[in-house]
Amino acid sequence: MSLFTQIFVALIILGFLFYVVSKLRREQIEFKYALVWIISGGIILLLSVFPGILTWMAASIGVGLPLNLVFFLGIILNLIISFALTVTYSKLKNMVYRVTQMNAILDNDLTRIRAEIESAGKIAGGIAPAAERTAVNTVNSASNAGSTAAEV
Amino acid sequence: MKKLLIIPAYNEADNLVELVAEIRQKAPGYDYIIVNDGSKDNTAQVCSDNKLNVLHLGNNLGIGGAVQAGYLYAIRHNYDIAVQIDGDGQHDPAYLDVLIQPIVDGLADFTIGSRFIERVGFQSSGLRRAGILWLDAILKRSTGLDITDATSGFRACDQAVMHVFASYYPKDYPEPETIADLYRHKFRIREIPVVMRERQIGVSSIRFFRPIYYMMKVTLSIFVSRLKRHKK
Repeated sequence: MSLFTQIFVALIILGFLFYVVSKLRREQIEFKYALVWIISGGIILLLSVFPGILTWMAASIGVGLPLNLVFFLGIILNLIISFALTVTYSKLKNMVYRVTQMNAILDNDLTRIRAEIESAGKIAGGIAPAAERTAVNTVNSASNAGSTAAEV
Repeated sequence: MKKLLIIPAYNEADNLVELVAEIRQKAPGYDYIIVNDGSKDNTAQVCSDNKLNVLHLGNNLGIGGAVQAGYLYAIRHNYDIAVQIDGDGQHDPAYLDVLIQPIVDGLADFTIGSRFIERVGFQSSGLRRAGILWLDAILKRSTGLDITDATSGFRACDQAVMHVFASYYPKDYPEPETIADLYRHKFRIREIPVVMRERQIGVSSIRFFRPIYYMMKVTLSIFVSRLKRHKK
């Protein structure tokens, strides 16, 4: 590897690491997921500064061209990251499903409770529940109003 | 005994009012919950105009997520029996009592309405029949159960099964896999002969699927279900 290539690769990696850190600083990515990028960036940086490590590794594993080892490791790393993302995606999907389902169930509750309040209000002489009161108070007073009306 | 009908509905605005009227007439002892799975038609409007009991899912979750929402609702409101029934009018509410009877009698935990036991009524088209036969055979191979209508969406269950469905329910093409799941949990499964109708208005979602993906996914999922850890 020529000195120019070394510097070129090192600059790209440094720029990338800087970008990752700035994303972290602005809390736009989660540390857990940034870690794998920082570590792999660090390894590539190390290899570009000391290309001898790569040549030695390639020779000891029996890979003819050191560059092929780079490709091989790069693909493996990519596969690992994509698989980890699939796992994360599945987990997130389950969470979104549950949130959507529970939201719909709560909305159904709310609709029914609102209707009950409204009908109770009508029985008690059209008293609309005041907007300032909390939901719990409204439910209590509405059911009180309803029972009063029933007693009458 | 509190009984709930779970009606998953995606773009079924034209069928729902009629279906609910039919339920009130033929099966007055049952409550129902429509699960509006992010329909793009005026399902939401129809539901609110007619004051139908409905869960509006903000995202389109697909049949699995929609039905699971129904089971969550059933658990929250403490129903003893939940029955899944299609929103397109395929399933006749007149068969509900027959379907849940084994559960009421304590003879089964889960029942499936099958159109292929007595072979009366709408029998589905040739290719689809072949697919169902294949899945029946896979289930037989994997669990030993003699299921004739593995993809039937007309199914009833007790509370224990509801809890299993609430914690895990396959997201797409769920029916055959859930049978294998319930077998693994050692629930008693029984098929009941019913007569099904051709869907009334609208297009079955089954028309759109890529049959190859469907068959592979469901076949593999049945075998994977056997590999899962036993939980009960």
